Amino acid sequence: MVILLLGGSASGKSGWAEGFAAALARQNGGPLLYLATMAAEDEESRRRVLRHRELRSGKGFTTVERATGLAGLELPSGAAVLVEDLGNLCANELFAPEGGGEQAVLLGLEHLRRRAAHLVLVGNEVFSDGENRSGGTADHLRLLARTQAACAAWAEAAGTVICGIPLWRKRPAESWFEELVKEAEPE
Amino acid sequence: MILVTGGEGQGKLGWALSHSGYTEKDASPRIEAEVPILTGLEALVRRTLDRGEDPGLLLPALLEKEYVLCREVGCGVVPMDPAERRWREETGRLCCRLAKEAEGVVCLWCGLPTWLKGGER
Repeated sequence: MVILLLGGSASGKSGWAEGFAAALARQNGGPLLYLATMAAEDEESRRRVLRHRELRSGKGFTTVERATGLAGLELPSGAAVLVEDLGNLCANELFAPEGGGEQAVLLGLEHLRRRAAHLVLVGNEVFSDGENRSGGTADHLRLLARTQAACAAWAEAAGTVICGIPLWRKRPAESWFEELVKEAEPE
Repeated sequence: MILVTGGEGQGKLGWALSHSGYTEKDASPRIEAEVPILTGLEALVRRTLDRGEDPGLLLPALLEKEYVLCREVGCGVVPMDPAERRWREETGRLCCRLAKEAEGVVCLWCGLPTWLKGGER
């Protein structure tokens, strides 16, 4: 299944995304992959990466770092793949020298959707700060909004994490999903 | 304690007052005020960081309140200024910790409450 989780900064979205990916991997016994899209180029990014790595440790993830060109990624069969996050992916494809723009973002995600048994996507809730932006930031926001809307259309479950609690905009009505949410809940 | 979140002007205080029957004199932005409602946790986090203190230390005093109101400040484009980023993250993390302990968590949107935890879900 595809799950899209958005959230603001430090909303607790990563913990839930990890919980869902790990729970889905346990269900089918397949590999559990963490696809990190952030190119850690400065001290703060490196600290962020370390913090996330610590939070993930012991949960059984194999980390794959890939900033662009997701369409060329080889995946083991039956994998549960967690992608963190769409904001970084869109920025990389737009602004990195090797980036392929909007097409690369959508083809990359389409590829993951087809090859992964389960796909958990972490996105960003960044569209409501009342600022009018121009230039690169505006391009990035538009691409991110379109990307997240495309993912929400594919996803069986999509929502926003607020204060560490998911608020679903779309979700399966059946009780198995309720069970999955219970299993995915972070410590 | 009920944690009340939502964007600016979405009706957090109005909801807390109508839910509780308290009036505005029962609400204060100061943590040491002996009133049941704390308003503006995001501003309290900023003042705490400005003094060079750890906002996590506010947790026990916040749990003593009946309502803690915090404006959502983490849903915009990530700011260039590291201090602004830190403020947003510390506010977000503190809210996650408060939500774990809270008996209820409510998000206000256009004046409409959504219970994320407890209450009339």
